[in-house]
Amino acid sequence: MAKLITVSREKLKASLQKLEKLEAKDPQWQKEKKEMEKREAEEKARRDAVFAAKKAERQRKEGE
Amino acid sequence: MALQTFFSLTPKSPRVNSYNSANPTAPYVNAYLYSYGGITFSSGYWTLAGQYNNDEIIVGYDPVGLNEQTISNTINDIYRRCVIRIYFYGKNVSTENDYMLLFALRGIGGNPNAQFFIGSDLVRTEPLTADEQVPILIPCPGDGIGIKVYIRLASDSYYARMGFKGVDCYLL
Repeated sequence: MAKLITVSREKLKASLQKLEKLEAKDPQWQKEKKEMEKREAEEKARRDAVFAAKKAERQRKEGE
Repeated sequence: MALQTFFSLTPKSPRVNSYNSANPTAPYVNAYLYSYGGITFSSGYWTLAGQYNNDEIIVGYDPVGLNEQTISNTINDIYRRCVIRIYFYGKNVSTENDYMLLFALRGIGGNPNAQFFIGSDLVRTEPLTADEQVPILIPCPGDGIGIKVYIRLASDSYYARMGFKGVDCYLL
């Protein structure tokens, strides 16, 4: 096992900001990011809808 | 007490979305794995089938030199090189949390070194002699804030190759 790598919160913040500036010039990443966000929102909505439907079904059966 | 993984990514499972509608306020994650500079040969675990069966990606033959230690252009310094990229963000987490990542890598030949970048900064260059586990502790930057970790192959030999078997993340 290699030695533990650590990074301070300040360095992390600065490094992520620097990367974000680089990525602003990267059309491929901008496109991927938009697709990711869209897919994630769709997945969340789908899971919530399935869960709500199952919950409603359970409540309906309990009410019978 | 045994820690439960927050997420795991492997070449066969390159995407995680752990959102649970039954418990929407619990911590969850969206995580992605990408790779650049993969290679295949005509026999053994070098074939695409071999890498699939071993759940391993092998990258190589285009390492950066050991003296190249920055990312100043995502296209030239990442996409055109041998790189593993992990992108993830936790939800319902806070700056009081930490992420512990455990990478499983394999050095194969040609004096391979793994350069670890968190964001755009190099934090460690790890020589890979054989199977190697590399732990990284990263403070959580906040709810919904993404982190990118790049593992870039570096060597003084064009012949360098590196296997990536996966990463486990624990939320502390």
